[in-house]
Amino acid sequence: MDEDQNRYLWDGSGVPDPDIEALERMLSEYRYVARPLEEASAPSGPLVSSGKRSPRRGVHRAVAAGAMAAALVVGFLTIRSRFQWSSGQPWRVVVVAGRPLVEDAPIRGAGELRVGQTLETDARSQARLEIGNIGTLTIAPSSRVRLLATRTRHHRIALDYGSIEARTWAPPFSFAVETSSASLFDLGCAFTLRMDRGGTGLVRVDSGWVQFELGDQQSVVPAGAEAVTRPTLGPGTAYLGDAPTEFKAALASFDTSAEGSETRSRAVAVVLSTARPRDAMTLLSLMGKVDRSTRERVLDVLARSVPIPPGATREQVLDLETKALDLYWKKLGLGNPKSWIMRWRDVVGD
Amino acid sequence: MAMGSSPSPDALAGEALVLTGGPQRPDATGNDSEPDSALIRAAREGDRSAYARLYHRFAPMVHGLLLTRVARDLADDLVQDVFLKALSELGTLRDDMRFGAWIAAIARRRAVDFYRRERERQDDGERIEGTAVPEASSARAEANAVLSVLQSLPEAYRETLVLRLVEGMTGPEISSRTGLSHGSVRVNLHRGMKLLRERLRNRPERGPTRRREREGDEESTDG
Repeated sequence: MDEDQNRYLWDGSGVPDPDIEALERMLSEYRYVARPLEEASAPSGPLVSSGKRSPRRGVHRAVAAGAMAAALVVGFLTIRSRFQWSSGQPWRVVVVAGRPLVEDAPIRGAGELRVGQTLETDARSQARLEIGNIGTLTIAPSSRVRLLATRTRHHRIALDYGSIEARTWAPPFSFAVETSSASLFDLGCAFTLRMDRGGTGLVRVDSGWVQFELGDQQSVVPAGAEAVTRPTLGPGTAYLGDAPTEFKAALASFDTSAEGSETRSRAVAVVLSTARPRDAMTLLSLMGKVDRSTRERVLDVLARSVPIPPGATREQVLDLETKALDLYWKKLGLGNPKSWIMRWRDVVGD
Repeated sequence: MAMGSSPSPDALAGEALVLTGGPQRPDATGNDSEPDSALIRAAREGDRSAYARLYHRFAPMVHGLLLTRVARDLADDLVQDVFLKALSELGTLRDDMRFGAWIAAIARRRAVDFYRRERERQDDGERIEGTAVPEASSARAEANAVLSVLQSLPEAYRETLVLRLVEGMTGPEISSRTGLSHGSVRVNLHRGMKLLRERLRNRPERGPTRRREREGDEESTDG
């Protein structure tokens, strides 16, 4: 190995070693893919000593605490067992119409979809998939999905094109859909996702929330809202489905124009002039996508319909401080992404 | 945690947290070149966004270390376990400058624990889940075979090589994240690569090195 190749192994500079390049290409599929850290039970306060506890505990308190702990354990085990799913266990497919194909073979009545297999519908066929044991997925005509992985609290499909309608009842991030332009994480809800073959798609959330992301582009979409994803650009800003046409068009222009461009400035102006009070969610989403001076204008409009919440200051919001933004989101009253457990009616359907 | 100005589901929930692990927007969460030690201090005081940034920085390293020990489909989940455990034990970290080495040790222990528990489950008659992944192509099979050879190398070599070849980290990055000296990383990379070439050459299947030789490009593996 010469000095150049040594350098390539060390830091990727110098003349590439063809063997190492080949190994890098081959092994890149194992590379870590960023995903949010789900934290359900970690401590929420400062991680420092909290001082001594009183040594004296009343008997009644101990009994009550014991009973409560037992109830919590039983509840926890019950819910936990509800989501157990063996790794690689096939999903059930039910034919809704026509002759859907699994790996190019038509299925009749019902069948199975295994990890790595493709389910395809033509213009006349439709199918329903059971997402392990956490929900259902309706595959619309002219669609193709692939089952990527399935195990307890980890169910992943790819939507190559077409449309799916999902209804899940499970903790956030249990179910995700990969598309060519973004990843969609289900936060416990009902949603429809439509993708064309070019990688442009639209998610519409009926209940709960979804998180739509590509790298550092992220849109959290609440019930009643939609978000578009575009090739190379990823997810756009979420908006309410009933927003004015002019507002939506300006938002699309904003999402697809270059930072600092005149087009983007004009788009922001239209968004701000056509926003309704109930479009506050979109304006709050925009805050992190614009420069400081534009952010001030966005906040002026936002605060007219939803004043800055107590506990946050204008400066903190303009500085995009997490706590201030979280207070603002909470004030919008869009519901709680983690209260999936209460949305069972939406999963059951009408 | 909020990314950009997206809502932080944890704050809305108050029940459970979701720490966004993706790259942070420079204008959203401040300067991402903030030293690890500052993030650790903030995380210890309860700042979830600081811990999310630590997670983002160190997750590829932790993933790589796990991948040297467990099947790929388990590595993702164990990454989560490792960071949750590290968060709960962050108060016990004595030297903030050693966070990388500390969390690497947690990752190694977690992999050992995983296999110990699986053995116990197996002894109890339960099947081991999550190790069988259907092969989609010969390329995938070849990649799996190469990864198996990598996993058979001595620990120091396989860890450093997986971080370099799989996770795409450079030598200086590996040193920075794991706490190993530049010299150790350099030695591990070169000796490990030499051993990997030898083992790939000697296995029945043909790896990249063999293919090149077949094409007439004879190159020494001495590094």
